[in-house]
Amino acid sequence: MTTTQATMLVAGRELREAFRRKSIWIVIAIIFVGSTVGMILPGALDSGTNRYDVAVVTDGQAALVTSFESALEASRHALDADLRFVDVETAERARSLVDDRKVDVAVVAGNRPEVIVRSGENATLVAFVRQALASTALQRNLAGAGLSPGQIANVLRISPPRVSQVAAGESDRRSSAAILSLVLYLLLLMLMIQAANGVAIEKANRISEVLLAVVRPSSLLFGKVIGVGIVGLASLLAGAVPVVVKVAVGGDLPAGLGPAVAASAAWLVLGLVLFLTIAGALGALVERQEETGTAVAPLSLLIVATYILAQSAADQGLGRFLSIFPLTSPIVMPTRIALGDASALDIVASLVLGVATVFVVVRVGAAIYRRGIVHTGRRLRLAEALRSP
Amino acid sequence: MEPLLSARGISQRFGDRVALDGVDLEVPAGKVVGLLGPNGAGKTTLMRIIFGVLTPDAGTLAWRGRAVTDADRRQWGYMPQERGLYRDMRVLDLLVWLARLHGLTRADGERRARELLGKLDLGGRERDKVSSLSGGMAQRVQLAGAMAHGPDLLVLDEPFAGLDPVAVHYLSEVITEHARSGGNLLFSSHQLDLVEDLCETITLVDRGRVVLHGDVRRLKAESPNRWLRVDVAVDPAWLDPRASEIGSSDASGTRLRLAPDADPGRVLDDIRRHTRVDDFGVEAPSLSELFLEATGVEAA
Repeated sequence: MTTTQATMLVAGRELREAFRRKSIWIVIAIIFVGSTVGMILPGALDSGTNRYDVAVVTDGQAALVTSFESALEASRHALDADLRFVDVETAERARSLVDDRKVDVAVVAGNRPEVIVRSGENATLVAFVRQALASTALQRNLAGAGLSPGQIANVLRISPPRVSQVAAGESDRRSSAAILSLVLYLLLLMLMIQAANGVAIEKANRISEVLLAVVRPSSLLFGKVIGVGIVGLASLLAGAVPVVVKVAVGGDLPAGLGPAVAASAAWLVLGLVLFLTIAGALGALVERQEETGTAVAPLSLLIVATYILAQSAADQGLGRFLSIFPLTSPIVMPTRIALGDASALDIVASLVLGVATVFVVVRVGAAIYRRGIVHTGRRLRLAEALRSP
Repeated sequence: MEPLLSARGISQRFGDRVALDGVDLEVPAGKVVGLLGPNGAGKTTLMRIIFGVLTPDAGTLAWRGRAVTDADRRQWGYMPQERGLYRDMRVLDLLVWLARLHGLTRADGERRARELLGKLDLGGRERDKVSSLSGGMAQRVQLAGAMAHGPDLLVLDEPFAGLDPVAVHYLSEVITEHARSGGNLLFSSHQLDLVEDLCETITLVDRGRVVLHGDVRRLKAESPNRWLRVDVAVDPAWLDPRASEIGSSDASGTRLRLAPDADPGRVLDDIRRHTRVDDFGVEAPSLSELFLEATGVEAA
């Protein structure tokens, strides 16, 4: 049996046993439902707010009203909202509808048109209403000047500009970054503790002795890292499925989420290899499972601190450093990509450094594990494990 | 004849403590070998070294006359002193997985695991989790794990520790059957009297050093603490002083100390030439007594 085959057998057992536990299915279900809600909810909430009710006072101006409604309808796409017209008989009635918030805006068509709106509200809609009224008046004047309907259509063929709300996009980006860093933080923390605990249990109940008689220590460690890591990726996949489905059916994603999800997968793999290898090696130093928390405390602290800094400083100089530094980049870089702050150079530097660190950590981690797993008696200190031949 | 497994000059220190000091051990083919000694003598350390779990500071290991390789070790079976099983795994899954680590296919592993579970009276518990088994059952699963791949050499570290007498008897049967079917076996124990009838060859260790080793019958025959008991009074003039001497005498009869290697049958014949003997018996030293003898010599 080759080392690779032994590693795969160890990883296969980890996977099989992990997916037999209810807890992993609960985690996957929570991530899937959370992601699904995240994909559906904004659309569901938007359908209520992105419809404008427009009261129009007809008052015998049927042709004018029709022309105005057509002009405003033409702006529907630019306005990025549905429109519902409510015909009312008088201006007083229209005013009371606006007062009672039954409609967003009211329009009295005629030679001296009037727009009724609550103070400080619906500025975008009012701008489009004014444009539609101006367009209606222009249409009427051009007709009066003897232009044919075709000529008038040519004159008025100007696409209204689409209103792009920059602040809203920024908010989406920040939300995407916050969600991703939270998911990466929780996943890495949970899986890291799982890997360390798994190694500590194997050492404490001496199953490691049975296994070390058959397979190399590196196969045991990396089999666990691969097994636990795949469980983590499966969890992320559960969260990515609703995103992919939404894209497949033509839905829009929140700003920054697409690239950030893709980046998360790459940096999650890096993070998993780094943190699970270190956690597994630290787990091999303890004598009893209860000591695992203490052994991995520095690593847990690093992940918690990275998460907190990713929330507050991702778009600052410190954030840039953390997104490139290998032990913090798995959480910070996807966050910066979601925010749109990461340059191509930052991304490449982060990846190259991350991969190089993986090679170092894998070698050092395997050596610490090999020395720790066979040590009995008091807890072996990290420095001692590193010094041992 | 070349031993199957031989360890030569194995030394191991843990900090200032010497765990093994130039220990030699041999496992001849087809023999049940007992590595015996009190707790802390270094037995487990030696077994961990044999299985490559520890690398010794000095000494060599040979299998069939050449240096031991990882491939050799994969063909052996090991049951450590402190039982090591995945408690959340199902019994059959665990055994098949262990067999596959030893190089068996899934199908062969399953066939072999079911066969062993049947032999060990665990048929019907295949789908149970290890955590649901009693201590004795878990012990048998551990033994099945060590035997799942049909090992060339079975190594059991303290297999009887913590077992009740019924479980000890049951495990002894399995060990005896394994040896009878031509299997090679090395086991350790600190319960010397418990394994008295199992060992053919022993290596006695104390404080990291070998104090006695060899064929059990031979060691007992060579012991100066062997007695012939007869139910009659014996005149010293009847005896060959090179073969025996009177140790004690009372109304129930006489105890004669046999010289090392003396033939008790000939001593008995010497007595029978002078009087009728209705009841007699040879009292050979137990393994514990051999150990005490050996450590006593060491201490002197």
